[in-house]
Amino acid sequence: MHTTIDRTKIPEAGPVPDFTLLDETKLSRAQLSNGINVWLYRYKKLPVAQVHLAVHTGAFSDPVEKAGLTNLFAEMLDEGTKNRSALQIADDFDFLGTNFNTWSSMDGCGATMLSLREHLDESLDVFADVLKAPEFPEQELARVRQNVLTSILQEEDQPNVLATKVFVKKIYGKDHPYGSSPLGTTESVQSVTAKDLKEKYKRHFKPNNASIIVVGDIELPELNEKLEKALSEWKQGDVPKVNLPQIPDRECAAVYLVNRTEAAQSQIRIGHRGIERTHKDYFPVRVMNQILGGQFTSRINLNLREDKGYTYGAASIWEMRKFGGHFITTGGFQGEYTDRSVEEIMKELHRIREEGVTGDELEAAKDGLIRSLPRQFETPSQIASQLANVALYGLPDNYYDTYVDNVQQVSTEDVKRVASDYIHPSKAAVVVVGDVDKIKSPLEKLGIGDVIEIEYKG
Amino acid sequence: MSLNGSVTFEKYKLDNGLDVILHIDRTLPVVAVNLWYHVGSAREVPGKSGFAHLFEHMMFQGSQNAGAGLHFKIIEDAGGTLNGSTTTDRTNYWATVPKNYLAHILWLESDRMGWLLSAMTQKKLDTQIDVVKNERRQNYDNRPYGLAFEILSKHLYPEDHPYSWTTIGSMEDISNASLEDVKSFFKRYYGPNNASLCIGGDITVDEAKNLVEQYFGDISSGPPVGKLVPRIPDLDDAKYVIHEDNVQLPRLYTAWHTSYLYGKGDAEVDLVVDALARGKNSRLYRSLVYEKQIAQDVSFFHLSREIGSLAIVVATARPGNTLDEIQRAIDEEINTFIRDGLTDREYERIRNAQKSSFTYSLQKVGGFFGVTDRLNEYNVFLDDPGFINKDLDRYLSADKESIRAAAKKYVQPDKRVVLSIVPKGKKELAVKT
Repeated sequence: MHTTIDRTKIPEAGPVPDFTLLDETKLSRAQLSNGINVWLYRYKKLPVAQVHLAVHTGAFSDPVEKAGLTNLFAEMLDEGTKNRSALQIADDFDFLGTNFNTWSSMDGCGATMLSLREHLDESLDVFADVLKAPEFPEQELARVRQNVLTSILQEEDQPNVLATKVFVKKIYGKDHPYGSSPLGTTESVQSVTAKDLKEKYKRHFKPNNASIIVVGDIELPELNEKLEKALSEWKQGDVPKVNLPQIPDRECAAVYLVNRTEAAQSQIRIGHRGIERTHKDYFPVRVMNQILGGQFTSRINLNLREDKGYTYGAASIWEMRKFGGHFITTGGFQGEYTDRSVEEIMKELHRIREEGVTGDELEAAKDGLIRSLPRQFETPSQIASQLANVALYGLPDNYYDTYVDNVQQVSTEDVKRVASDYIHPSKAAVVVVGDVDKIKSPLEKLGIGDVIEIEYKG
Repeated sequence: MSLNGSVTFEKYKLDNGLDVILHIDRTLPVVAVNLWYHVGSAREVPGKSGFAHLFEHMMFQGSQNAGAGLHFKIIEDAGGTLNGSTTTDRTNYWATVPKNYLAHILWLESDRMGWLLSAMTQKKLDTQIDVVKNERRQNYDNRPYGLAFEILSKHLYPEDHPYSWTTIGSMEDISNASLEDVKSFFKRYYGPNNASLCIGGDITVDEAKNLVEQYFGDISSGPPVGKLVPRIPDLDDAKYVIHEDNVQLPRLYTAWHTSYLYGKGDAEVDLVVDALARGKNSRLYRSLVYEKQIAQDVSFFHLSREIGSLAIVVATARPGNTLDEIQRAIDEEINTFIRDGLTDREYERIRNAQKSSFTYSLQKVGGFFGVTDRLNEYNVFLDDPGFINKDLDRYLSADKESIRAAAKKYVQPDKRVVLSIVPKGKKELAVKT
C-alpha cells in the first residue's frame, strides 16, 4: 500500500475542524441565594468532578505593611474549622482520594478540588466546611507562619525569584500592593495576626464576591440543590472597595544590579508598567507579544537562544491584572554575555516599536492563538480555570464566543501602534542578578542609563 | 475510552519494525502524536555523558526536507504545543495539534527519523552545545541544591554503571561532542525498530494508518538494539557525603536501591512511599513538619527505572535545626513502619489515592504523562500497551504485609547513601557519621 508522497513539500492542512468552545448546551450559569455565582460545565469523558472557587479578593487588598496576608489567609483556610481539625480536613480529603488545594494570587483567592464523581457529595461537604467555618487557630498559624518565613528565607537562594522580586518593586514602587512579593517580607508576615485573617474573612471572603465553577457529569438543578445545602450558612455581606495608588511612570531607563559572586548565569528582567486585563487593547497586545517573546519561535527566543546560544530560553510576558500590570522580558543568560543579552533584548524592543511586524508574522501569530484554543479546554481543571478567569476579571459572558473575531481583527497597524504606545525601552527598569565584578563595567558601557548596585534583603 | 475507564487502542508493527499504537478520543478536535526512542543516557559511554540529551536538542534543528526552524514554526503556527525529554532510559518527543495537522507532525517526525544527518552542521551543533551548557548552568550548577542528584548518583553506582552519571552530562563531555558522535548515535539508536509511535485523539483509524505507512514505511531499519539488563548494586555499608552549596538551609537526601521498573516489589515500594510521605497525615510529614516542626518540607519519591530504581527521602531543615535531628526523626518513622506496618485506615487511604489517581491520569491525551505517553511507556518497557488497564491491579493486589515487607527489604538503615547539602562553611549541620 505504498503511495508515494513528495517529502520535499510541507503537507496541506485538511479542512479546519468544526468546534464550539464552551458549547452552550454544556454550559449553565446560576446564582445561589447567598449571592454566589455558579457556573457548571457538563463533562462526561471521565467520572470525575472539578470544583474551582474564586473569591475576588487577592493580595491587591493587602496593606503594604501586611504584605503576604492573602497568601497566609489561603494557607490557613484549611488549617481547621469549627467542625474539623487541620489533620482531620486533610484526612477526610485523602481518604476519598480527592485532591484539594487552596490558592491565592494578586487578584483572587480560593480553593480547588478534583474528586471522583462518586465522591463529589462527601468531598463537597468538607470543601464547604472549609469555606464557611474556618477558625484560623493560633497554634496552626504559628506553624504555617514559620513555614512562610522559611520560604521567604529560601527565596534568597533563587536568583530567578530575586530578580523578579526586585523588578516588581522597581515598577510599582513601595506603596502599591502589586510591588510586594506574594509571600510578603519577614517583617510583614510577622505582623499578621489571627485577627487580621478573621477580619479579611469577615470583610472580603463573601459569597456575593465569589464564583464557583463545577466541571463534571451533573445537571444544574441537582448541583444547585447540593450547593444551596452545603453553602447556605456562608452569608453574604457588603464588601468594601479597595482604593489603590497610581502605578508610577518611570522617567528614564536604569540598570539595577544585585550581586551573586561567581554566578555562572545572570538573571535578567527588563520592562516597565503595562496594562490591565480588561484593557481595550488586550487582543493587539497578545498578538504582538506572540511575535515578540510569547512563544518558542518568537523573536526574542530565536535570537537569544537559537541564534546566539546565550540562554536556555528567553521570553516576554504581559502580566495583566485587575488594576494595571507590567511588561517583563525574562531569562537566565550566560554570565560573560550579560551585556550582549541586554543589548539584544533592547534591540528587539526598539525594533518592534519602530518597525512593527510583517504580514506573515501577524498571520502566523493570529493563527497560532486561535488554533490553540480547543486544546486549552481539555481537562476539567483547564476548563474550570478558563471560566474562573472570566469570572475573576469580569470579562463579558460571550468572551470566548467573540475571541476568534477579536484576534482576527488585529492588523499590522494595530500591532505597530500598541508596540509604540506600550513598549518603552527608554524608560525600562533593567534588573540583573549576577556577578557584579564581572558584569558591571560592560553594562555601564552599554549606556542604557545609570547602573545602580542594590543590596537585597528579604 | 469506554466509560468504565478502560483505555482502548490498536497496536501494529510496520515492516521496518516501528511499533504503532492508535488511540481514539473524540473529546476535542485535536490529535496527540507521541514518539519514544528506546535510548537514554544509560546507553552513553564514559566520556560522552549528556550526549543522548544533546542529541534530543539536535532533533529540533531540521532534517533534509523539513529545514532548520520549521519544526517549531509549523507546530506553533498550527496552535499546537510540543516538547521532548530525555531520561536515563528513553527519549520522547510529542506534539499536540488541531486534527487537520496530523500529516504535518508525521512528516516532521518521519523526516528526522529517516533523513536527519544531511541537515546536521557544525554551526548547529556548536549553538546547541552552548544552549545545553546554559541549561546545565540554569537547572543544575546555578540552582540551589541543583547538584544533589548528580552527587547521589556518583555515590550510589560504580563508575562503570550508566546510572552513575546524569542525563545532563558533564560540561566537559557536552563541550567535546562532535558531529561524528551525532552520526553514529543516530545510526545506532534512532532506527524505526527502536521506536514506538502513538497517535491519540480525534483520528480515523484508516486515515492514520495510511499516513503512517506513507511517511514512515520507507525508512530503513537500524541495527537491533538489545534490552539493558537490570543491574542493581548492593551497598555494603551506609555512605555519608557532605556538599557545601549557596543555600540558606541544609537539606538531607537519603537514597536506597530498590527493585527496577515493573520488577518484583516495584509497586509495593511506591505504596511505602505514599504511606510515608503523601499528604499531611503521612507519617514523615506529620512527624517532621507538622508535629516536631524541625523540617520545612519532606518528600519521598520512588524513581523507578529500567535497570535499577531508587527510593529517595528529601527534607529541608527549618532554621536552627540540624540534619542529624532530621535523620533521626526519619529513621524513627521508618523503623516503626517496618516493625508494625500500616494501620487499616492508612492502607485504605493509599489504595483510594491510587484508584483516583488512575482515573485522574486519563484526563489528558497528549503531552508528558498523557494517555499517549503512557501507552508508549508500557509498550517500550513491557511490550504491552494494554498494561495501562492492568497496572492499577499491581497496587490493589498488594496487601499490608507485602508493603511492610518491601519497606523492610529495601529501606535498610545500613544500605544507603546519605547526602547532606549544607550552607557554605556550615559542615557542622550535616549528618554525623
